[in-house]
Amino acid sequence: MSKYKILRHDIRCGLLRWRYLSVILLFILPCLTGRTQIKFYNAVATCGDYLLYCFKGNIPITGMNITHFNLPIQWLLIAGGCLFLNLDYLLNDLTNAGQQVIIRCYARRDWFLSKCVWNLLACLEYTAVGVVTVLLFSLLSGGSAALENTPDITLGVYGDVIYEPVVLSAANVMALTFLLPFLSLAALNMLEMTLCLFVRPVISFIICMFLLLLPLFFNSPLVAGIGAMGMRSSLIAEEGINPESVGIVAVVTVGICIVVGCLRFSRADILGLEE
Amino acid sequence: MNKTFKTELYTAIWNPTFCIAILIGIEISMINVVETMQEVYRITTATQEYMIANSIISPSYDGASLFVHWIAVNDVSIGHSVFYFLWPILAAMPFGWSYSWERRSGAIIQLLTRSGVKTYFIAKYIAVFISGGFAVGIPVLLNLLINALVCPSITPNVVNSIVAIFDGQFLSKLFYTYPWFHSLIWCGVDFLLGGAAACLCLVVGSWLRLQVMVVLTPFSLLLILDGVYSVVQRITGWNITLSPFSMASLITGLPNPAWAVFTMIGVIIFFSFGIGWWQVVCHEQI
Repeated sequence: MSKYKILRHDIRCGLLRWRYLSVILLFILPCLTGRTQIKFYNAVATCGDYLLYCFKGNIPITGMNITHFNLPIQWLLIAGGCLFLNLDYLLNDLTNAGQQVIIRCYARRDWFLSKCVWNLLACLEYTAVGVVTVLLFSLLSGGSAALENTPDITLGVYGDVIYEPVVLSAANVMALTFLLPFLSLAALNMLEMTLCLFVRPVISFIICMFLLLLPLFFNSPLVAGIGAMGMRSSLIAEEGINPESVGIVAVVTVGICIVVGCLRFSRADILGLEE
Repeated sequence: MNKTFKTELYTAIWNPTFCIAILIGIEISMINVVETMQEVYRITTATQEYMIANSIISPSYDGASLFVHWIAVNDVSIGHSVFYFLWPILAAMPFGWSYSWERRSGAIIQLLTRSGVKTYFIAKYIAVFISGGFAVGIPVLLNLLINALVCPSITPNVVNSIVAIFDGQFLSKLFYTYPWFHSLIWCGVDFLLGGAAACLCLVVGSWLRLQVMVVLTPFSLLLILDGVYSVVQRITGWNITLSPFSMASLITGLPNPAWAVFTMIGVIIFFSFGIGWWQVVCHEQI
């Protein structure tokens, strides 16, 4: 069995799953909340405005800037949803046909690499479905399909970090709401999958959710998940983080996870990995 | 019934995942203790310096109070945020997976033939509830007790507004009069919330194959409920919190009266018991 057949199997069984329809719900919730806020600005909201609202995040929490703090649940729902939806595929496949495939293709590494590619594609699918959902929401709610932002709306939504209207091109909005979230989520998902080879999947999920909470407190490109927060990017806030550094950290994390995962999986007791 | 219940409870408490869940919970709550130690040291040092500089004889240490810093109240701490975000997973970890695992391994047949379906379900439900309650309640209680070693237990002054507990929030009058009693009641509330959340695993126990997905079900269900509530709250402008994640902690943006907290717990219990009963008692075949 060639490695391409394994990959084809992963794409067919791992990407075409009913559960990805729940992504629509995860992205519609912040859009609904955003709509109530955007209505106050008497402007036609664009798809870019809704996308920027979905990936808003929050400012770093410190003792000085807080009287009361609420978790940004909708942001966590979007970011954590990806971790949850992709958590079980490796184990599920391994406990079904995976062991037979590994025996027949004589290469554990190919099987694991195929799962890595699937993981990246799954994150891409997740983010893409999210963007398409927001686009449809924008059109159905009377907004426009443009990806550029409306400066007044952005000023209102990102009022904690900007003090005058910001104009963003479509490319910048896509970088903020598609490319950077995709890279950040891919890094976290790859970490989660690799950790599943060392510890129980629940512990792996808890560790990744813990990492996802760290951006709420720290402002550093080394913190996983920070790329999915618009408020922390230098494209919007002057004191934000350079998106290139976030991207590089994410790519390096993915690379390290693949290497460590391959090394671990080539020697792992796959019968004991079940749960 | 009694024997089945004892067996289930013994299995729920004496298993490695219960210990792991409790240890993770304690680890997270200890983050809050470390933060509290640093904060209390900073506050007392600053107060003493101010006292010496201004010749004040009896300074106020209200800011260093135990009831301001323990995990359920100190919403600025990382320990608080992490614990009150991950608590449904901790609750489900100890024994939430058991029904799914017993179905998958076939062990359920042995249990059902020996004890009967109704007895099995009720014993399982109580065991899952208690184990989930302990997994959330014990770290919170321990945090209160360990913080008490670090902080003075000064009754918060309602005039100072150091804590964001106002009129209309959970037993607010009790908080400003008998804070120890209030804190212990809150540990009990967290126990009930943990137990109720853990029982949500029984809702999906017969559908999902992997234990990990069963354990993560309460977390994802409550997160979605929270997301839906935030939308409804934004649209309707309700001045009350029904968010499960906010409700688990004492500090909520909107009022969390006692009736709302207990209603939420009741609804979760009713939902999980109802669907669990329908699945296990009505449709489980030996």
